[in-house]
Amino acid sequence: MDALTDSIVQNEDISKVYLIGQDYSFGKAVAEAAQRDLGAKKASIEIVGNELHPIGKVKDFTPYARKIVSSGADAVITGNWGSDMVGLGKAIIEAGFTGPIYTYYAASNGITRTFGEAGVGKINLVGEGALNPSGSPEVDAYVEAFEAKYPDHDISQPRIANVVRMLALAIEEAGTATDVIPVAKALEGMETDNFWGGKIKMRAEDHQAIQDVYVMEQATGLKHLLDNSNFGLETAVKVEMASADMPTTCEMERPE
Amino acid sequence: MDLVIINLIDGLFYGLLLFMLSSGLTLIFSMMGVLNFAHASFYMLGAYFAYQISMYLGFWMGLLVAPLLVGVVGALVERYGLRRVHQYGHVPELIFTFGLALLIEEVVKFFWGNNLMAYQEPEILKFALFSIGNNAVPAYKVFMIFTSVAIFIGLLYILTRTRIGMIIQAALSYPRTVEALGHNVPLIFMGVFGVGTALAGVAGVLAGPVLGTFPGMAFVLGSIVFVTIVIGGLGSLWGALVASLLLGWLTTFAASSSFSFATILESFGMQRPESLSDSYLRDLWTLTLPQIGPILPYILMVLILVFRPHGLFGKRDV
Amino acid sequence: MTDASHKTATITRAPTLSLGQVLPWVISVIFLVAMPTIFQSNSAITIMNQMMITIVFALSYNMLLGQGGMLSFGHAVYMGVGGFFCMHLMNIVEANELPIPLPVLPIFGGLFGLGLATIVGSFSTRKAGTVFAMISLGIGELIAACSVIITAFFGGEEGMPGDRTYFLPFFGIEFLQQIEVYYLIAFWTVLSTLLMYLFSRTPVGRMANAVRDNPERAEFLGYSARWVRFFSFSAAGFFAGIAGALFAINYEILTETNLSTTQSGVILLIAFLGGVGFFFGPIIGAIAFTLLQSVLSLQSEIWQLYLGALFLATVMYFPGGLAGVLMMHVPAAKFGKLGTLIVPYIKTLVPAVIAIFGLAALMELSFHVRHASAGDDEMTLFWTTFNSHNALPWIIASVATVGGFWLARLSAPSLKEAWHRANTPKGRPA
Repeated sequence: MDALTDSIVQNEDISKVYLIGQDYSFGKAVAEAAQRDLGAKKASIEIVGNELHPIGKVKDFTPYARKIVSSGADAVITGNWGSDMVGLGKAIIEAGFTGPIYTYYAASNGITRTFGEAGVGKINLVGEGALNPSGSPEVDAYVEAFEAKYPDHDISQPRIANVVRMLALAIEEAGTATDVIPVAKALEGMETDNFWGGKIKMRAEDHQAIQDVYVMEQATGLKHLLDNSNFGLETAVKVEMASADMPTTCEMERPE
Repeated sequence: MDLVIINLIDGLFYGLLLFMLSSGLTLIFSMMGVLNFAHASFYMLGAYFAYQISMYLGFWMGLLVAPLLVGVVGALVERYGLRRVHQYGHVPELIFTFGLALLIEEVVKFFWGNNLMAYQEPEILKFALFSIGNNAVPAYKVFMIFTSVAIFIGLLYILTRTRIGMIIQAALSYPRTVEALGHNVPLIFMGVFGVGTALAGVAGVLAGPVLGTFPGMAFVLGSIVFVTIVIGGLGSLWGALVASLLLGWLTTFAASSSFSFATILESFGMQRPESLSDSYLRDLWTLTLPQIGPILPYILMVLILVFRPHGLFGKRDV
Repeated sequence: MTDASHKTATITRAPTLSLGQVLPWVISVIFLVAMPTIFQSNSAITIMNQMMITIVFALSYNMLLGQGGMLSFGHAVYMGVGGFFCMHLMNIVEANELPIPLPVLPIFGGLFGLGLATIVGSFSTRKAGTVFAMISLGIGELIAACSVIITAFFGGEEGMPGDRTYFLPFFGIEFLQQIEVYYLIAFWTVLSTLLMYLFSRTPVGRMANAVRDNPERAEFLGYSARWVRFFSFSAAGFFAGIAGALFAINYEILTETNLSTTQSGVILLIAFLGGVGFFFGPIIGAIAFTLLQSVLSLQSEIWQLYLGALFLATVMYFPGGLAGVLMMHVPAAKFGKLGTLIVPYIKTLVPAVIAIFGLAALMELSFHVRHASAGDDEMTLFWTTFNSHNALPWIIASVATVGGFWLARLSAPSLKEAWHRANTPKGRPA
């Protein structure tokens, strides 16, 4: 969310934002975080709508799209996924909305393909790893190997590459894989190379992974494509070490 | 005001889509006396068939061929499945169609997987026909509205003005007499079931690109179609039309309103608590009409069943 | 509804308890007590707990469908709401340190289920058939939708967790271990099963059968069909609530899935597979389904497809369910001719089973070829590992399917004849 709001704040064209999400914890969390961050970073941004819809129950998203267009919003933020994401996105674009739609899960699994041409330049996605341009030749090789093995799937969760790497490092450092507490202690505060480029740091206080976060745009003519379509995601904004400056209020208890 | 007009159009679109489904369902009900739980599954089959065909032959061939295929599948189900279960009574029939709905969803997952299908509207209709305020109305939706109206008129014409329609209507009310007159009633039943499911197929072909083509699409729409014909009155074509439009506008306006239940609580003189997380009424304070919009049809159905069991236009009890 | 269900209605009540009536109960109790000593692993006990909860729930569902002729698409609601109330009770007990022992919790669950059922039943039981089915669907959808909106009570999609160990220790048992919970659930399962069985023997239970088969005649006899249905419905709600409480005790969490219409559909499936015409049908259904689910879901990714096909086949060819198939053999057993069926059965069923396995293998093969990752050609099926892109497994599976089917068709007439003979009393021409 920090990265997402950063890129909205930097965008001069956006002064009105509409929040919409599924009526459950993630949808609510996205809305809350967006409100808080936008308010703190740029008070002139107006939140013209903040709405939740029942999860998996809406058949036709057009009425929501109408409200968004009529509200005069310049950008939409949503945490929707799956068919709710496609339904909402298509309805918003078809209703004549021209601004960007900021999302978390609007790619792969048929979603990129379904948006197709209509999504170009409109669908924005926040993620922890970018493919276009990729961070290094290793990333290229990794992605190509994945695509060769699973032609029907994409790397939709780049963070997993880091998860496995960091876990392996921690196990090596702790010298044990069965005793979980030393492994957890090794992970705490770990700072290492991010597979997708730059560094990644597990902040000791609250166990948040601080890393580069990318805001990507649906585009065509890219090197790495998604869904076996002609479309993929291209990095628009890269926020280095996102949320590193965010204060933490975490007071978790740790096992001895 | 602009928003009201645009909502009217959107509600009309959604209502007519519901009507394409409910008209077939209500036709089947008046014939067999059983609600076809799997009706929305045929709608899903329509979308998937059309998607597969459109990959090779384009959208228009899909629109033409997919409903026919769905109709054939429907007719086969009637001939080899339902007709067999019919002898056990209505409740087993309902259970049969329920099982069929489960099976069709699994079969679709077997062939096409869990992902969304990139089923697209034809290029020629991919533009905004006109705009009200900033809100664009896509040409494809207008095309859909006209198609479903044409289907309704055609159906009404066939049922009331042609010889074959007369025989069907007669077979619905007095199957034995019609059989005695030398008509093949089981064949008529099979045909009506096929046509009913084919109508659902048309709805699927048309709605697939707009509402998404995925394995859950039947489940999402399934019970709503049920609700529609129960509200409209089982077996009534006009009832299905009125109820479809009613539900279309109801859900559209509910979703586009921004009414909050806090207004009601405040009108009772209640104070919004400082900290919502401790209040037992915290959910009511934050509840809005769009949040409960999609369940309004169910409330309406239960009320109708309790107070007027034969629905708005039905002549007999459910 | 089915031929089988008519038979249960005509069994006359014996004036005194006979050994044949008591024996099944005694055996079941011994069986339940002995099971954990045979299967000691935690996973086995988990499966058995799940099984017993499903049995109570399925029996309560059958009070509606089998005994009362009411098809419900929203029965999960009563189990779920009973469970949610128990969860809150659990948390209240924990917060206030109330001196209540855990084993009485199911009574409260039952009462909450009963409470909701009396409210809904007051208007939904006016009619049976489609009206009832539709109202149950509507109410089911409403309450399921409420579960994500009213988070104060249902806890949203995270559900409502609790802790069963804060109750007053029951003779020193704190229910920390799975096995203690097992015996608690077993006790309540036997008790509720017995109560539900006795209910089906009471005049109200009998009248429920009569109303199911012919409401008009029941009305002429002076019974209000609506009241009879209302009683059955409330009682079913009570036992669903008990099942919900047992669920709460076993899993210590309830979520919106407990209320969902999917859950209501599953219980319909279970009851029907087991056989709704007999009291013990849903018990068989619950056991078979739980086993099938835990075994098949590990073996196959498309097990729900098999389940759907099995369900549809049951509706079409065996509307009496598994129990119906079993009870079909009672006349032959009475004539002492059950033995004559064994050979013809083997001749037909073995090829049929081979055909079914062959078909399943073909489906698994095509599923693997379609959906497995590229280059991953190896698959394991029926304990053998092979390359799914080779012709050989396809040929074997096809031959098994076609050959098995052909052999079964071939021997089917002789089975039919043997069946006919076995069901003819001795001394009469077949």
